[in-house]
Amino acid sequence: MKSQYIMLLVGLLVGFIIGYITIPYYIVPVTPAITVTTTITTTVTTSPTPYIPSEKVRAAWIYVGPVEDFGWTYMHDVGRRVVANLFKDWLDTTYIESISKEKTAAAIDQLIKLGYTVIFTTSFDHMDPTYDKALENPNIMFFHCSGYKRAPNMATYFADLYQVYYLNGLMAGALTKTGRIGYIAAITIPEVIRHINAFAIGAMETGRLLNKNITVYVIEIGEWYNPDKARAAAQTLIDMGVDVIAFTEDSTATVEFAETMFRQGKEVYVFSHYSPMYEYGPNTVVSGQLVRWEVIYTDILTKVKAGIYTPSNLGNVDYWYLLNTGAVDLGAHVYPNGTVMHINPKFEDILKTITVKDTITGETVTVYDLVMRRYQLMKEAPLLQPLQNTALTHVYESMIKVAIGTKHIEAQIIAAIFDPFTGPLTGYCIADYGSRFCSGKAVGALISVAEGERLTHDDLWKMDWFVKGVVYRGKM
Amino acid sequence: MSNVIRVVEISKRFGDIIALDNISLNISSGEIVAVLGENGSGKSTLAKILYGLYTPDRGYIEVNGKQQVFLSPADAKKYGIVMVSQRPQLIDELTVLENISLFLNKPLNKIYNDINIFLQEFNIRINIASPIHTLSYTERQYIEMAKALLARPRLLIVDEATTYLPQSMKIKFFEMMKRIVATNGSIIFITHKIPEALEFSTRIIVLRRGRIVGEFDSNNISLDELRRVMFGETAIIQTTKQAQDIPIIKDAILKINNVLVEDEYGKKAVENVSLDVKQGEIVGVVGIAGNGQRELCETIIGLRKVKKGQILFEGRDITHIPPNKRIAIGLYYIPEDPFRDGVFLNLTVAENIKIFSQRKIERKAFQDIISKLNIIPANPGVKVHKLSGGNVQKVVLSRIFINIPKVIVAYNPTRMLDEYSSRLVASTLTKFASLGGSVLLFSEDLDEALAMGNRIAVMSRGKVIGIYNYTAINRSELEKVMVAYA
Amino acid sequence: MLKISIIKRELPLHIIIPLRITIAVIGLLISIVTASLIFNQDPGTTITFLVNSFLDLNIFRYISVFLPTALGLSIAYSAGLWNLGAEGQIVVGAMGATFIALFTPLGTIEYVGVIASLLFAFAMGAIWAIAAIVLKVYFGINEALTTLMMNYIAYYLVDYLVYGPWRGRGVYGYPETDMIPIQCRLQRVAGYSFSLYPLFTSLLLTILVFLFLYRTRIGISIRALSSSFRAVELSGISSTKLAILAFMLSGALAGFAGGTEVLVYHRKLVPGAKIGAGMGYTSIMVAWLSSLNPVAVPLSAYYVSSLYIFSLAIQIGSINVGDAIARAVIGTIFLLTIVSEFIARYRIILRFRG
Repeated sequence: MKSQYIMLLVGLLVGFIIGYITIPYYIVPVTPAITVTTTITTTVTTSPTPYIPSEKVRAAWIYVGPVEDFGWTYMHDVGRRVVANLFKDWLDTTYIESISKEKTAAAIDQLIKLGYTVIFTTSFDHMDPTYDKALENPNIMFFHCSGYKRAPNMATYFADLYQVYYLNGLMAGALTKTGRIGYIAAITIPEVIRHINAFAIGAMETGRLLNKNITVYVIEIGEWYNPDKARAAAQTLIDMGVDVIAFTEDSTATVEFAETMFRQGKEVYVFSHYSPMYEYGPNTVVSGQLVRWEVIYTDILTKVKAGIYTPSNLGNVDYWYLLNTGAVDLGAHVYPNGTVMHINPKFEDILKTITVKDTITGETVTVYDLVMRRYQLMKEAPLLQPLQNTALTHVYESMIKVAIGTKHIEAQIIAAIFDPFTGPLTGYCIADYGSRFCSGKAVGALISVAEGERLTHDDLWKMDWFVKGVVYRGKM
Repeated sequence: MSNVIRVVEISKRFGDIIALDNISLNISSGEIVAVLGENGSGKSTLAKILYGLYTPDRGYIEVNGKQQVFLSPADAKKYGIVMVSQRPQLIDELTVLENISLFLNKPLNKIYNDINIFLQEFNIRINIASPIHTLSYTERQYIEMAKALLARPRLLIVDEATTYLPQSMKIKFFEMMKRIVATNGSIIFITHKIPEALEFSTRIIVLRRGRIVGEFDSNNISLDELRRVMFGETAIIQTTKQAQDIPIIKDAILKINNVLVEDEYGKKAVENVSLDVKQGEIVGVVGIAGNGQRELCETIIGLRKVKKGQILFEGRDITHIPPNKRIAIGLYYIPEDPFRDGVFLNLTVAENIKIFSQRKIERKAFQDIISKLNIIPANPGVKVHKLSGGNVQKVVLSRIFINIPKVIVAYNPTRMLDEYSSRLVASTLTKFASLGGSVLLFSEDLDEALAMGNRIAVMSRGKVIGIYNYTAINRSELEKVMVAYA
Repeated sequence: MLKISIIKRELPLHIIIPLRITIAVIGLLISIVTASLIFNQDPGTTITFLVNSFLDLNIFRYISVFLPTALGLSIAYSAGLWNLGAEGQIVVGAMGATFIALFTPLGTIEYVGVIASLLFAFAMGAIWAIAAIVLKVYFGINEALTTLMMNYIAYYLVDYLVYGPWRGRGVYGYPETDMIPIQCRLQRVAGYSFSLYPLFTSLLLTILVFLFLYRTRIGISIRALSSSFRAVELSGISSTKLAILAFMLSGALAGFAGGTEVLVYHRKLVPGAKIGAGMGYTSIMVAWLSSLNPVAVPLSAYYVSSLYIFSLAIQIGSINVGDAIARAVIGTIFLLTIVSEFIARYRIILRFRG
């Protein structure tokens, strides 16, 4: 009896699979130009149908977390809502949240089946499945955030915060009393390493000007989202005498923790991360990093609509947006009218009372002015943005200016005239991710960047060293 | 006499097996009704339906003229129906007192005296503060009876509960039953032992294969007549007189040297026991329950650690090898409690036999064994938990038919069996011995030990206090020895 | 007064199977319609989504994980042993496969690489399971707890590797290895994320496991273990060896599932939690849904996988209920499935009393 059941079951399953698979609907035949010559000398030529942008664009987002995380995913969804409302005449959007790596491929398949032709995948975890799906679905356009794999129909984009971290570092260095500054890092991949370094460079700059001995202590928590670990890390840092904390973690836990400490009479300052967290810590949030994915989404979707981006020309599309583009900003709060509060008024007043010498101009200015001047310097780089759109042109991003030799205009500025990652810098290797500094070197090997040398896009992407003054205190 | 309880046209199936087929029965107050039947005839199923453990597929039960559905024993208890069954239904982790308190739903202090009075009346020495798992089977069964009788039932169902008790205890128990009858209670007495049914009941109902095949007044029926009705045309195997004619000249195949075994609490359970079993010999081990027989038996088959001493099998030291290896070299075990140690209830009969078989076994061999042992139902595909207790024991026995044992250690092997089946076991063991096999028979049934054993060892307080040739001692002398040192 | 009683019943197999399926389907429809009405959706659309999910070929992507894993678990559970460590066994299986594929010369040899990787995945899963069962049989330590803890150890072990010595050269510092060689990757069905080879292997294993558990003496004895270790021992079979074997097979099958995840889906080793992704825990449910019958495991794996796909589908487009609600709906459906099992096994009697 039982064996009959097995045979029946196996038969059914095998039949089902074979039947389903032999239905050739998924085979998209790549038809090369075929010339058929018949006896009556009629020549029929077929060629691949040219891409015509559709009237309506249907775009879908795949998120790694829930949209309520008030961090990474939340801000991507804010971006989606902006374009969805702005382009509502021709844009139809949807999203799927909490998609881990193992679900990504199935999620993409579902979206394609439902007719979405532009798919944004917003986590590094999504990279490999997105790439695989891109190769399988040559007519769908994929945009992947934070990865490095591209295909003719798969572009990459990223908005990087290191300049903003630098500005926050300036404030941290001015505000710390103990000289001990903490950094809660999610995972020490190059992105986070450069944020830590930029923050430390800023903090040590004001620290040096104010004769403070600054050390930045880093605790790694090993996850992008883990409020409990973030809290525990914050506690550990405070126990070490840290009084200013920055973090890369997708929750408000650190801010709330600092606010609780404040209420208990201990002043610890924090910088909000990714989303505007000022409301969670009005007494402790100094400033923070904000992201505006809508800047990139608007650009991408208008180009899709206009037929500029097609499923065959995305191979070199690689957004790398910095402060100059507006895709990232300095601040911790967005007013109802849409403008950004760069610095918490409480701390604005304090920072206006501390004066330092601006190393670029030689003037004596308040720290507030110093921050805003540097902000302006990095903001204004009109020639930079076109270079930040493609993988081919990233090499030019670190060029400070190009000499043209005409009479009245001798040179034009390309990159921002100021960038935190400009030599002289000294540091030490913490891993080997293949950068020109640490490749083949042991952990702890010392490195230096020559005076005036600007780190390139590639250097930033492979950053595997900490600047001197950063101390790694382990992983939780 | 008024009808206390009526069983009306009850049928019950288990999957493909019809356990009860249209049974109707009236029980009046003050009556002891014996339900007699061979193993698997449906006796226990009937009892379980009356007690609310099973619900009938068809038919109903009427109490005082009102139709009732018992969905659980709690329902049955409300109507004063209480059961004492083949297997004690006690919670191992709780104490005697707590168990009884739970059952009666009365606070501990209120029943404390009642229990002690009851135990004294029956001359049972059990500490009621000790947890159940420290008690022997017989002791547990005492507690079961105490539980049931203290509930002062209107109808007491006694499902084979007396079968395993020492004769003295049995008689006291029947006296207690009669007391219930005197106070207008009634009793259903389920048994496969014809003499017991004749002796203690007022009326006898005979069940066969789920049907009532006879109803008799206990005073007007003979044992032979009952036997014929009970077994139908099945021939009764005559117990072959043991093969004591074969001179036992061989060396001991199983030798136990000065063995010391401790119980769960580090107390000496078996002390300085030396015993040997020669080829072709049956050695009976008797004693009052709880005198170390169980521990000794478990030690020999490897379930207990030996503290001191040695066990030799064919000259090989097996003191420290696990049970499975002892079986592999030919030392087999037939347990007292087949449900626990003998079979796998969630598997089919065929699967059980397959596990027992040390070599490859053919499909048709299953049917052979089933018919040889008269397992009912005779279907190898039926799950063992659907079989009655006696048939379960027969499944256990199958292992000695499909393998080639050298020594069989048996612990009360016939306890659960009806007359036909226990004779089958007895004859199997004697035949096994006559062919050169050896048997170590632990038995609480002195007659059985005397009938089968070549030599009888008596145990008391963990020691062997005497070994007698079967010709040199009789039952009453044995009883004297057992009691003298106890 | 209303009195509810529950009575155990036994129905023949040919009634139980259709009965359970019918009840499950009705339950499914009830929960879908209720959920649709609560969230103001058209029930018809939702049901269409549901039907489509059950017909979606991508369910094989999950079946290829759930089937072997649950099959293995059903061996352990048949023996009455609580292997809650499938998650960890999947993860170390993935680790084993990656090791062969990426760090031994075998990885670059066609066919040999795949077979060697999967065999090593089998072995790693088995080894991982053995640790727990050895503690159980020799030291009496509860295997449910140890297997559960071993899951975390597996996570941390793989995390250590991908953050440390195994971190890839071309991955920009992300915690993952390089891609495994092309020779070691299993061909996916075009347009989908599963491969036929492991799927057919799993189906073959289903039959083998069935024959093993129901036709061989060792297999039957493994099932007997759940009744009594002592009785098995007294039948002349070493219960210790059986328990170890049952756990080994259980772990090996989960390890195989993990190996195929690397060879088919990830094609590199990533942190432990991303490989297992809770599928090892879901497999526990798959195993129990099948009532531990190996032949029924493909069915229950199919059912659970379909609901996985459904939870994705109902988030998209017109419905878009969000992940939390999607999970709640799926949870309700599973609950109803368990109720269906209950109804199939028990009869509920309602009685009114004055």
